[in-house]
Amino acid sequence: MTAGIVVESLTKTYRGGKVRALDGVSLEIRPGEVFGVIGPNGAGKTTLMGCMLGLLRPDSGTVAVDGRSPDDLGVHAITGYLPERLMFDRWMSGRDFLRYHHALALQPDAARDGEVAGLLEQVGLTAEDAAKKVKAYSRGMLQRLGLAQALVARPRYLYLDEPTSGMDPVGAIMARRIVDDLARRGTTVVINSHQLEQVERLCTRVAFVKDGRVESVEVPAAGASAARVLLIRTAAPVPAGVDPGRVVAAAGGSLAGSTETSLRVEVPDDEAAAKVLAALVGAGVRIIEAVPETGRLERLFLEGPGGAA
Amino acid sequence: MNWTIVRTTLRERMAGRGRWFSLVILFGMPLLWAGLLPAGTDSFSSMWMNALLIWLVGAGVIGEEVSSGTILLVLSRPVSRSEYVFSKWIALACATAGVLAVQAVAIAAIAGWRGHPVEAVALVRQVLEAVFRAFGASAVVVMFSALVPGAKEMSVMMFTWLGGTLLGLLGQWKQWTAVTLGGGEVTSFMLPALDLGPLFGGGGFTWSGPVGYLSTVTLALAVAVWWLNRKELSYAGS
Repeated sequence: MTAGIVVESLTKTYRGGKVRALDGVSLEIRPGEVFGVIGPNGAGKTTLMGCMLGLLRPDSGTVAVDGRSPDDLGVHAITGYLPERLMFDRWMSGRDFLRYHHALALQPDAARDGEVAGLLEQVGLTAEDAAKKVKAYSRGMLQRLGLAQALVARPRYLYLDEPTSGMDPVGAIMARRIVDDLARRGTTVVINSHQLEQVERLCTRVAFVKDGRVESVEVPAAGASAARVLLIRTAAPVPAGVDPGRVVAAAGGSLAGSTETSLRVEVPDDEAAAKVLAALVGAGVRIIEAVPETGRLERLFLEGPGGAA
Repeated sequence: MNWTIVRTTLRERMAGRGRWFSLVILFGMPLLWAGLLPAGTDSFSSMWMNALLIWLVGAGVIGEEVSSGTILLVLSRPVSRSEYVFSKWIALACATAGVLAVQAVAIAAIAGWRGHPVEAVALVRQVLEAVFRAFGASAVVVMFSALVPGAKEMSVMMFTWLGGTLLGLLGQWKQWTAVTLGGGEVTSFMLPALDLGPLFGGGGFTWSGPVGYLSTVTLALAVAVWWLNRKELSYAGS
């Protein structure tokens, strides 16, 4: 049995085959991984999540969660899901809604009140909020309630479709902390999001989906052996007579761009990064800051896989 | 059977004021008539008043959850689609059986008060028939609710019943036996009932009644499960 989520050659069409939402998608999401799925609207992200959850039936291909079909009720018991569209039972109070899902998730009756109170606190909903009918909730409150609902069964697999959409910054930070905490405890998290900065911070790997295909799988937080771009800020322009391109190349990097007081340098690993910085300092460049460049996913989004090195 | 869904469905059915209003009207009208019409008249406790009550209480029992999308989260839990359908049916059937049983007892009490007491055996028969009617018609409501989104099944059911009635009348008028039988089948499918007369009042018992009733209920629930199993539940692609 393969642990984690394995998607193989998944194809899904709508409207009698006229709209191809997924076109031979293959992915492997390892247990305990926080995996992001990004891509433009209509790329197939939500369809992919629907197939992983067993709510949609693929035309061909397979999805296996811990080696089992996503339709398997045993898989449902270890799964949490926050949909993008927050379609909750509006006539219930927030607390009753969580109690309902706690019971549906086959959690013990005796633990219900305590666990629901804990979840409400975790997502920042007060006792007063919990007593209100869901129909009186703001978008941000619904998002918090939805997140609590997704966590109700202490899932081993958590699917979040735009988890911070409509949340204020405090809510977004709270959601990020919850995902960080779950990841530390070994929960596998799949996140569909347009919030690229958030995906970059949270996810260990990110799939870029376009036109129903996985264009690339990126590692946003590059490790020691991974290539990345350094943004180097200088206190003054590069001294006359120094060719930064040549200095950087001699140290094992390559100059990707420059302004009067900044350089963008591609380095293959940490070792090269240290050499490049030392070479530039040795050449008289007054470096005041060198940081790995963020926004890589943003460029991936705008330029496609080829332009996001 | 999932008792969490049964309990929540009962609470949800009772949460809307409009449904309460309809329920009070459809519960009260037969009582009013029992008190006002000449003693012995039974027109408003007829099967079709009962059917209307069951249809109104059950309108949208599955279809509204499909339209609003709340079913998505329920079925992402360890709940099978057949379990979901059966739980909805049991919730609806128990609620309406209770209401119809109380109504039958109240009508008997009014008849007794007006000097026409109903025998205990006859009352038990009426209550049991009402309960079977509730379970039968609830299965049909659940089927239509699974097939039709929102609470539109009410109009579909009305038209189906009307169509069956007109077909039966046309058959009688033209003396087309097959058409008359077809119309009768449609109308009796819409409100499966079990005549307990042979059990209580003597007479020849035949299996055709119970078999017909059970097959209608089974067919309705099977269609609901089959349809829901085929259904894709996601807002993707919409």
